[in-house]
Amino acid sequence: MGIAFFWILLSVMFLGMPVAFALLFAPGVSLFLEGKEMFYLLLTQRLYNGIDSFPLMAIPFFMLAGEVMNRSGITLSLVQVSQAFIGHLRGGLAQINILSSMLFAGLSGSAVADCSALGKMLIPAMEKNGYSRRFAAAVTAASSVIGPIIPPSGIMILYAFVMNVSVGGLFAAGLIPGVLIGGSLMLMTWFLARRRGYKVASEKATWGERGTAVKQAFWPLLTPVILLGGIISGVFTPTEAAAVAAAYALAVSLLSKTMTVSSLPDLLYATAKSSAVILFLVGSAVAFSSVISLSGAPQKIASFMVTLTENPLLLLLIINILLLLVGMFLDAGPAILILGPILGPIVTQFGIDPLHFAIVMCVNLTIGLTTPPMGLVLFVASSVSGEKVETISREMLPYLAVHIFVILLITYIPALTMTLPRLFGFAS
Amino acid sequence: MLLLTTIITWLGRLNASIIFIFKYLAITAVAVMTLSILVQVFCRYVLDNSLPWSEELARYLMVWMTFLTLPVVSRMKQHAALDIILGALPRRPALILELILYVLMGAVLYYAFDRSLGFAIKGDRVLATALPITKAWSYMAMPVGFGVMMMVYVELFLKAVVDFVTGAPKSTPLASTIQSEG
Repeated sequence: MGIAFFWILLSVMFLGMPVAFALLFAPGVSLFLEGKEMFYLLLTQRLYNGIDSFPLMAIPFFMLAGEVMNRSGITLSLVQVSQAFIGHLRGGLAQINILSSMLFAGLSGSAVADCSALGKMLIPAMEKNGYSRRFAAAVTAASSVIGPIIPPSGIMILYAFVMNVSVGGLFAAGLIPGVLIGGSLMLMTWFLARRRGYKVASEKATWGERGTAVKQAFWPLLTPVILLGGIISGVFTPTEAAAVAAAYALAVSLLSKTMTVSSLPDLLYATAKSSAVILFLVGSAVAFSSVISLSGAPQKIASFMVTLTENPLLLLLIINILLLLVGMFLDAGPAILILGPILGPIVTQFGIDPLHFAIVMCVNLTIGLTTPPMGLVLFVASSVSGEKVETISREMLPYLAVHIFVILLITYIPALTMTLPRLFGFAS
Repeated sequence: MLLLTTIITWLGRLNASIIFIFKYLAITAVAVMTLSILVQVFCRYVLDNSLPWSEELARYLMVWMTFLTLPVVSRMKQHAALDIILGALPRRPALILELILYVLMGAVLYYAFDRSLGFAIKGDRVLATALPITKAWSYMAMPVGFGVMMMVYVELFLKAVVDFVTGAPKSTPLASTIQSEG
């Protein structure tokens, strides 16, 4: 069959059909036109198989853990730790914002959660401290990109599922790139702060004060240790680790009385709703990808790519540009579900490690969440701060430059992603 | 016109009540799903004795959780979607586009409902791996979810028709963005 379904998908998606429906509609129409409606049953089975999956169950559990931490006072204790360590730097609150994002990333796997939790707390604080609100929103949005790069990560679980790579390997691979993004953003902030004369946030804290801050945040900060330790060492499956993390976060919040049992049903319902959106998308994408393989589209695209270049470095550059463009319009999750099965095999043919490519794709598409016209993180930053999306994205330009620089670093220095997975035996 | 608004009111009430019941079923599903995995972890690592049924139970509950909440997600227009064109169009053309999209989505749901029902009925002859039930118990979540989603989209379609005729101010686009990146 032809690749008509691909154009149908693009058109209805741009006209505004929800992505999950478009992924079923497009193959449905092209099968109908070719008189192959008997394949509808296959699509339905694949839809079901996409949802009925144990590895994907990590998503509702991480969502639950995230919801719990969002509603309890964990965000505040993370900010206090950051302040104790780097509050005395120039542009103190901006730096605190970025470091808190990195700590938060170890607890949650979502850029949106990161942006809304930290934005609500830090944007007003930064404004009071003499920063413009647009800059505060820009820093918050730019740093929340770290959320799904430092493990745990929702999009990495999706990637692992559709591309059949190990979640533990992806998590290990994301750690250094995540820290790299944070470090580079802090460096840029330092330059901006010097030029614009931003103040420090507080006096340099003593080691005693730092100790107190860490002690207060000790139990929440233990979450990433349990999670990553369990997954990377292979003791827990990612799904089990996610369930334990959710239960642990719940226990900490209930025992410290930052949350009540009566709020539990709402929390579980919110978890169910946001997971259902993703799982329906996954199911539809799995159904869609069975049609992709029937059509032979990946081979066609691959041979087209080969006529463009035979140089893997150039190929990665082309793919990065493509992903940045896609990321301007599409969320990271749907983009991974649609493009992963197409791009993955091509890149492997060129001898690029699947884990390395996965991280390039995840970082690139997460950055896409902060670029207009469609950027989920940008929308959240805008609604939290009350600044317009255009204003924030203009203010973010220096940070976007940092992001692109980091993408290039990660793309062309494979050691940044591959060292840890090799160390833990996820790659050779 | 009066007939139409009456239909919308009653259909809206019906959908709201189904969604209300589904809400509590979904909450129970998530709670039991989480508990069964925690029990599995406890049995495997503490008692050193793995349970055969916990994983399958949790998976089936997750399928139900998904299809029990998709109707409310649809009604709240919270599916991930691009609204650049829909959001930029003036009111009337936007409503026409919205109506067309509802019809197309209705077609998707019709086939999804029909085929998944057949799939579920056939599943009644297949036993689950570890649980003492047939796979139909899990497969049935699909026709249930797709069926109620169809009713929800009929309601949204009729509402858009009324908006078009009466010239009510531009409503929210077909879908708003939501945390679909995980």
